[in-house]
Amino acid sequence: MPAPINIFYVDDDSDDQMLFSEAFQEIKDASASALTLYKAGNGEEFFNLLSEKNIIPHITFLDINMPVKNGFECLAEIRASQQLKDKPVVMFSTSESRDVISKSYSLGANKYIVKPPDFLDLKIAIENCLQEFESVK
Amino acid sequence: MRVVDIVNKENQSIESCDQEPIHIPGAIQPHGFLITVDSSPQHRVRYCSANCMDILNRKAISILGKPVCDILSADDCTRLEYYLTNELFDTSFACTITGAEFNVTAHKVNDLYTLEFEQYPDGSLTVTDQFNQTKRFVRNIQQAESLQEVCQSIADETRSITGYDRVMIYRFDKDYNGEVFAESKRDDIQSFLGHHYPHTDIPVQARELYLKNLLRIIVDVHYMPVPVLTLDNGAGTQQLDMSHAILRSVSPLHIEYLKNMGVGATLTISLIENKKLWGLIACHHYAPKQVPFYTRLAAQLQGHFLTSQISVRESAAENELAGILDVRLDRLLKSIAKSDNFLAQPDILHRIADIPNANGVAVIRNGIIALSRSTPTLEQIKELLPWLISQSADGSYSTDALSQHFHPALAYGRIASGILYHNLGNTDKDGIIWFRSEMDATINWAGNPTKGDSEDPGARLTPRKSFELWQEKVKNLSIDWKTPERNAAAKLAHLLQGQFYSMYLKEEEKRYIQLTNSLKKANEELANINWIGTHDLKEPLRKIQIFASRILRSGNEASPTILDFVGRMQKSATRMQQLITDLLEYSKLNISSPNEAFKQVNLNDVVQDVARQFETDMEETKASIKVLNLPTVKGIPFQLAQLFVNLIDNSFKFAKKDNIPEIEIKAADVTIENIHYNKVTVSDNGIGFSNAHNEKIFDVFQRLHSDDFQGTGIGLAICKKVMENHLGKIVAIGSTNGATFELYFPVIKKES
Repeated sequence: MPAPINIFYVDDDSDDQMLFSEAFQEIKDASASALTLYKAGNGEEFFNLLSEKNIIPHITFLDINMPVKNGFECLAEIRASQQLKDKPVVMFSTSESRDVISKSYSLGANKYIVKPPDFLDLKIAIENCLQEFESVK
Repeated sequence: MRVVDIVNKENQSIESCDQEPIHIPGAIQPHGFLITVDSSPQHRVRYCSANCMDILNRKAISILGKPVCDILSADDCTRLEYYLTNELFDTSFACTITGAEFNVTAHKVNDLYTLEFEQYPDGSLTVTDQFNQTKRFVRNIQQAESLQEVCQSIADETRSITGYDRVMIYRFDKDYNGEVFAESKRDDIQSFLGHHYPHTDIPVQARELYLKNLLRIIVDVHYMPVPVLTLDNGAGTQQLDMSHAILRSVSPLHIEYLKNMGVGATLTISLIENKKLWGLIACHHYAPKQVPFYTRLAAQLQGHFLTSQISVRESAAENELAGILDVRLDRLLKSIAKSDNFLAQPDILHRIADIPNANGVAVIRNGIIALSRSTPTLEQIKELLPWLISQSADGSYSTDALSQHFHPALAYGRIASGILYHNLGNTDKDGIIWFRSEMDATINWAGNPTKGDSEDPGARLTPRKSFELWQEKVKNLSIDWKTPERNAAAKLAHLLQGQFYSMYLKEEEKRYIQLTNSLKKANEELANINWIGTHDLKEPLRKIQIFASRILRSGNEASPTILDFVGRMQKSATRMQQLITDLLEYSKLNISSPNEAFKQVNLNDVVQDVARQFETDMEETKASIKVLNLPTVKGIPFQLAQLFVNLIDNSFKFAKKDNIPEIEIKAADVTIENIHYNKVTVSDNGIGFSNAHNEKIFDVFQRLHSDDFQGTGIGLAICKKVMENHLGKIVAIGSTNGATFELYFPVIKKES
């Protein structure tokens, strides 16, 4: 039994959550790795979920525009946390703004993905990330 | 030879004064006799008045053609010789004929000497008399404060010298309408002071005569004219010019007029100022009256005294008026300066009318007319204004007879016969018009002779008829604008123009502040659109796209038609998203960001980076991008990259279907209107465009080609904006063989 890989997806948009889940499920079905997806509606829910389940995320996908605690705040908190600071974070947003992208990197994001308008592209983007950061095949 | 008279028969029958040849009546008044001699040594008699025969007790035939000395004593003949030889025409000499004493005066016209013999020798004018007269005059003018007072003292003095019942100083306006300006009279007769007379009362040939002959006398209006005789030489009668003759018989029309007034005798002295007939000293007597030569000279001297004062006093009066108007203007300007909008203040407008002593005023600013006091209606002014503008090549126009030049003004001649117009800057929209009422409405009605006087209503020529005629003549005429009035008006107009300009600047400033505020607001809204664009518009579109892709992937479950529709839907959503993205890029160019500082940018590097983005396209199409040594310019790197992305993208989008796309980018230095530019030319071998659209092509959403070609119609708008942000410009040149875009980057000299 391979070690479980915990993927966190933080987004307040239910459509995106659904699409991400479906794409993730397709990847998981085709993969030998033990992939688990956790979803949170915003930064605060994300941290609550971590302490509730007492797990460490392997990769975190962060939307930026979210209520209560947005992606930037969440990212800053991750990088400030002793336990989480080295974990890969992928920013996952609609915005193509240079300002938003460069701010993400300066706050310590490992990757920035513009939410693709095609389901296949979405799946490929997630797959690439899993491969890049966790060598998932 | 036959003796004939030269009486001008026409003079008896004429109705109208203006044709009457009054200088050649061929007759004299009977209080003296006349002999005209030629300039031969013997001075043969050419003409003689018929009364010579009685006085000299000779037949005409023994006077005419004979040497003058045949009829004079030897002593008198010697005196005459001396007098004529030395041309002592300003003096007279006495002579005794058949026991009676005569005073002789002479004048010369066309080599003929006319000798006039008047009974009533009066001795001579002594130096003392002349001195006293001059002394009194000097005293009077020193005391007189105005021209009117000078005239009054001259009238008084003339009456005391001559003893006439009435002495009037008569003044002409520029059209020779007359007014009794000063009067000295017997206490028991009615005053004519202030009476007005039409110019027709003294017709043009009379005025010409008055300029030559400064003194005329009628001794008794009931006289019988004495014909002047001459010898018929067979060549027709030769008229004798009697312009200068003191005995000259006068116009029967003039006599009729005087008789109707009850006047018995007159003396008239011309007042000539600047070679123009300024007025007359008119003396009336209600019985026959003869005035001796030296008394006449004394009276004439009064005339000279008066004319010496006219120009001095008139300019003094003008100065005084100018002073008054200056004070008025000064006070007005202070009020205007204090007021925000003086045009809305009735009291200020009222005072503007007063500046040139007008009866009303219209001030036009920005096409809006403000009226004060007595003016034509708004509609009439609107009709008048364009005409005034057309008449005022130098920016101003004035008249005292508007309706003569502008016929519609007949409808309101009473209100506005006088016009003083000044343009105030903007010809069509800013101006000032002063109005002056008809003269009749403004003159002193004390001068109306229809009041009180009892004239024979059937009489043909009377002062009352004169006055009616005068009223007719001055209808639709205003009092003329005086020089100080014109000057004050021009001065005010000039200052109002400045005032208008500063009002305009204030309004512009206000408008500018408003504009700046609305621009700020618009920019804020634009930033908002940016936000809406990103998150509220793009998000749902992406959803449509991604769900469509989901349906298409799970293809088997849906029918081919549905799949086709979903495919189209997805394509539209993709296009919409591209539009929003491009529009956002474009709108961002409007917002200046401090991050986007100008730097020295090597365009070779920019184009190389950009070309890398098109690697895929180039591989697919085997296209080539040829870049020839581009300059370094001062600019915003990101925007310059956007510029070339859009231009190259454009070339790919509009490539000819069967051609291998070739893009060439090259540079040159050019100078246009003394400004140096780095010119960069991007050209391709695509489908090009019609040069008619070379401006339109840069407009947002402007697409020149059909749906077969991709593109949102924003790319070139972005290029234009980028060039504007760089203080340069972009020029599109289209043909069927491709498009060329020229970029002009101004070369900014480095500060040393």
